[in-house]
Amino acid sequence: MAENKENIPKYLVRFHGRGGQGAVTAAQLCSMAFDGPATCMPTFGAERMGSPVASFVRMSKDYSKVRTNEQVYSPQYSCILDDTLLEDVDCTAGIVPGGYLIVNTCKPYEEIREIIDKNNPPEINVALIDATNIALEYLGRNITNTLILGALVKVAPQIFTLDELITAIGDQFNPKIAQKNMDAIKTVPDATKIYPCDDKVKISFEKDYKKEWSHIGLGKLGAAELDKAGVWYTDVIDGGSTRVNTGSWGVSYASFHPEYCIQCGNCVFICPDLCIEREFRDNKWQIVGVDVFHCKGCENCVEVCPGKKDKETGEKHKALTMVMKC
Amino acid sequence: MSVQPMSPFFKEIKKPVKLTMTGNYAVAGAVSQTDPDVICAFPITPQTQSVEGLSDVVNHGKLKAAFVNVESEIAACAFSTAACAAGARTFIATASQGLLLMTECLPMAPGWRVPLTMMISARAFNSPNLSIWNSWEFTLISGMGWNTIVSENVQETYDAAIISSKISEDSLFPTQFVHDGFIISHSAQKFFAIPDEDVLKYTPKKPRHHINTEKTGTWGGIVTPDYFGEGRLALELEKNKVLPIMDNAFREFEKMTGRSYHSIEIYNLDCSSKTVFLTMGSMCGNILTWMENNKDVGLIKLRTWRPFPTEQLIKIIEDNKIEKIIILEKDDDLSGILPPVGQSVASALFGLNVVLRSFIVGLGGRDVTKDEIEYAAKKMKPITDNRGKLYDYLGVRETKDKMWEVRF
Repeated sequence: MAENKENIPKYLVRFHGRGGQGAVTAAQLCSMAFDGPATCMPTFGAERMGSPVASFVRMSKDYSKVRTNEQVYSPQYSCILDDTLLEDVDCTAGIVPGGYLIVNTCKPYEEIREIIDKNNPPEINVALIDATNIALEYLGRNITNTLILGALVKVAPQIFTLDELITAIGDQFNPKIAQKNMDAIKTVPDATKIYPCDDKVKISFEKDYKKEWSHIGLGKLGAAELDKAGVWYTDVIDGGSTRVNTGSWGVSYASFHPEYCIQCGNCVFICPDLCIEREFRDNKWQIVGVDVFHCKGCENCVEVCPGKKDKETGEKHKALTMVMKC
Repeated sequence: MSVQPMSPFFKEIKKPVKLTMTGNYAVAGAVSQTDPDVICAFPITPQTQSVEGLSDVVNHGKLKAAFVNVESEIAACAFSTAACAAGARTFIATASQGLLLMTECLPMAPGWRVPLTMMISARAFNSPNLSIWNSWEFTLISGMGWNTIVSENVQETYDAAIISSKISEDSLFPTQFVHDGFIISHSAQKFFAIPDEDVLKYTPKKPRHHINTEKTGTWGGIVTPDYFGEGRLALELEKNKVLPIMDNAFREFEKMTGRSYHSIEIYNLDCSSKTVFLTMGSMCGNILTWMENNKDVGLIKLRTWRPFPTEQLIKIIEDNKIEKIIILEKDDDLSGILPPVGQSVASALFGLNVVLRSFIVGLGGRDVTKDEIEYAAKKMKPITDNRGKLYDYLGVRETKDKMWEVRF
């Protein structure tokens, strides 16, 4: 009996997406579609639209294997909803040898492989699916979370079938949206292209590959190095959003016009992402520009900017204005 | 809305049904089944969806309850306590800073003996910095006469919402039920929902004292030194009767559903090393999965946190001849003595010949993995007495490239 129990596989899947793309819903659908005990949990980093989020699913017919509430550190399948994430986060982190990386992309395999290899992953299979195009065609919106699950069914038919997945979608969404998703998802398995790795590498569903203390993240400051623990001096610790670029989801950013700036500093204090750049000139701090890579376009700075009258026309102009990204 | 998480609870649940929901929505469903008259809470992460879910059910028309919007947690607590005193079955929910803001109102419900039910999504206090993630803030201001039960997973927290309602009504003391914020509150798991009819049979609305015009009285008036002490002793005497009432509620729940709960749950206590982990909440699941491959350690899981099941714990320790206890807790006190769970266990076991150490883990939402569990078990092996420092932090960085070494 005991021997049999050890052989019961445990499936671990990780979803990478950006806030708003539905990575958490994808994980939930996974656990609903699986016939047996399953838990899914999100990581909540910065909870803003567009910032990278991940969610996990743990599935096994043996309840004792999925009773843990730990996060998943060594997934067998890593699904990426947005290929720009490959540059921002290590989507292959902890992936087991012989595992699958499923990417929503319209780029060719070689280009994706080049980006993945920067992180030196173990020997893994890659599956590519142009889900964005299918989503735009069937749903009219770039929401690909259900479609990536269709690709998961193609590479791992043993976890759950397409029919089970479609039933789960019907339970989760209201009928109108569910129907559109169901129609779209049926086209996915055929559109998924698989690029297998060396077939000597066998994927393991039992072994735990987590490296000791890998969840803590050595390299960041420790307790002995924090000056006043509750005060984060920005020259010592980066804010969350300075580590991650805004990416393609932001539709506009603030632009700085020095000729209308009176150096009041209102924008510096209101910017939630520390994007107003200052330099120490002539013995004082001066506003010199906007960090467009991290500006998310909230317009708070524009709101508080008092502006300055133009000498020639007499019209009042703000030193910060919004510019649409093209 | 494209996703309708509460839809299973929009119509009557006629037979046991398997659902997949996050902890918060499951609680909302369970509370809607217990037929509360008043729901009043102020949203705070990670508790928000439970109240959101309830507002959905009320809006849909299945639940006939007064859904009251208030401006803050202290207003929510004051309003709920008063509504409960007026005879309504009342549900309230909060977390962290919200619980702190409620503190002024919290002792009133036990004082008036009104059966309020509160959900807490355990979250850290804002110190040293703002954190919305899981720690056990409730342990620092628990007591005050509130009953508290802690849940490990979504099934348990769903059940706890129903059991708490019964415990409150039977004991006439308010009850809190706690699950770990994000880890359970935002994690979707499968669970079995109980039919509406059974829930209502299990939690009947019984006649009790309440504010009325027939029998008038002063609720919360001033009391001189002539009476205050007597009042406190009266509460204490009644409070002593709560644990058997809770055990009875667990027993009857088992009769109804087959799911067995106890104030203290034990796993593998006849292990060879006579060493046990003692903890509560979601971490128990992590330890139990780890124990699949590590059979020489046991686990004592506290389901009831307040009133502390002292006698049951002593009996378990003595019956199983336990020698060492490894306490894992997600709270610290900065007070130079054991942190809250350690304090309670140490004072309950005072005088027994048992060695204990407290490990502070998983603060502010950090994951507790097999690494922490393994380290704590290893660290405990050479320890043979209760001298020296009894607690330390585990799973934090000392410097950039070094983990903090636990020092006892």
